[in-house]
Amino acid sequence: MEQTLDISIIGLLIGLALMGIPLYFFRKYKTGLVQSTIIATVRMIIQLVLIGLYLKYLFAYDLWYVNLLWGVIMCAVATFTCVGRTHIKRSILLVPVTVGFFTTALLISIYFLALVLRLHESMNINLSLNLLFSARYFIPIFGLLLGNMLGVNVLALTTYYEGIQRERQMYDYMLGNGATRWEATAPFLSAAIRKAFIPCIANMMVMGIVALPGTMIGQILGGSDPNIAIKYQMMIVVITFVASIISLMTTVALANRRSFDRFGRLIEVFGR
Amino acid sequence: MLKISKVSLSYGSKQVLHDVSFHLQRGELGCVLGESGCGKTTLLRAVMGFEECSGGSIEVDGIVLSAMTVDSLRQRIAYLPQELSLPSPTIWDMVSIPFSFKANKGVELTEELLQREWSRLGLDIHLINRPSNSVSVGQRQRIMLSVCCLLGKPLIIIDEPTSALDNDTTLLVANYLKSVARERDAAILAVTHSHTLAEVCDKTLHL
Repeated sequence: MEQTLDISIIGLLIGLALMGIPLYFFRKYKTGLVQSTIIATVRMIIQLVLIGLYLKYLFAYDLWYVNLLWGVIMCAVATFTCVGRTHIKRSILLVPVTVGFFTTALLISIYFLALVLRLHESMNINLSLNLLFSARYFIPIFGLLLGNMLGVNVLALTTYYEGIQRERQMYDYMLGNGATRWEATAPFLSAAIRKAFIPCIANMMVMGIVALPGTMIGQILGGSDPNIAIKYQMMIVVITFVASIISLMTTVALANRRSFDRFGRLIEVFGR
Repeated sequence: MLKISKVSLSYGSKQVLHDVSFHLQRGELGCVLGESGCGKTTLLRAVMGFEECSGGSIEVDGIVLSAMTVDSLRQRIAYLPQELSLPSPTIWDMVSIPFSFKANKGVELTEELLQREWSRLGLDIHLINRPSNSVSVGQRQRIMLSVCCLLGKPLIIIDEPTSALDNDTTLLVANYLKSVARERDAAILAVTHSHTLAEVCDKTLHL
């Protein structure tokens, strides 16, 4: 296997110089995005440098409970980001999203590492907590799942609650004609799932032809055999897709308990 | 069947309903009449458990409405909100929605049954396969009214069922509702602005 090519500081600066192009257009067309783009770029650089330093130690010590704790921190950040972007009250979404994200990412990571990648067989060692939660495998997979779940949940949850609020007559009609709360919310959940998953399905349709996914490109640039990179990519798409729907259904099931009053009416969900 | 006793309801400091009482037996058609904004729809929504009363009580079939009983009460009621629009591809899809609920599983819906109701309401059965957004508001009102009646519930609650209809069709609908109440031994309560409908009713509540 070839060694991954390093990028020099000069190379990084030349790469970052490209950001001048979007900034030029953002400024020219008075989009109001210049400041937020600069802040986002600087934040990205600082965060990645710090994470790089942190991961260096994480990889060096490689203790399962420290890695799992890092997973908890990633999950907390993802949860707060998700709740913040939906503009739905924390009292309604914080616990459901935390539970939905953490349990789904944990279970799917373990499923992937133990049953798909079969780490123990590849390394000829017994399956252990140290192996399942090893920094090299657990953290990237856990992070990848959280990132995908975040986007899908934000879009779906916003669509779901906005739908019930906007189409209150339709919701009341169903409830008023004997529907259970699950039956009455089902059309809104269906619309939310469609809105969140149609882009994922469209992306899957053209994968490898129009779009070359990041994981695969990263592996190929890192010197992996393209055949191996393709297999990884396939599995990554499957597990992120599955994790997104499981986390969404868990979140909605738990959030529904806090979103309606004793008479089945949607309470005021938007706000702080 | 429906007993509204001294019901009061407020939105903050604004009192919308004050000591409202009204009774309706099975087989009777009743209506709530009054100026716009006087609380007619609010009263219907209170009967459905969508608005909480600050005083008084509502009973359906001898059961007092509360958070504990609201689900079972709604299973005894067919409800039609004002100018309802459902995002269904065809009229048949729109009509079928409440029949797919667990609570209404045993209730039959066939084209023949619909045809029987629609002929009494001046509707053509060929509308059934049309896109749901291709019918007029008046046609949709009558279509959804027939759905409420076909659900076979002992209490039917309807909000402004004739608001988009001319006088002749309003009379047709009023007589249809009255005969449904008699034939199926159901109590029907409608909110209306129409004096044509009110004249056909057995009981009228003026708000």
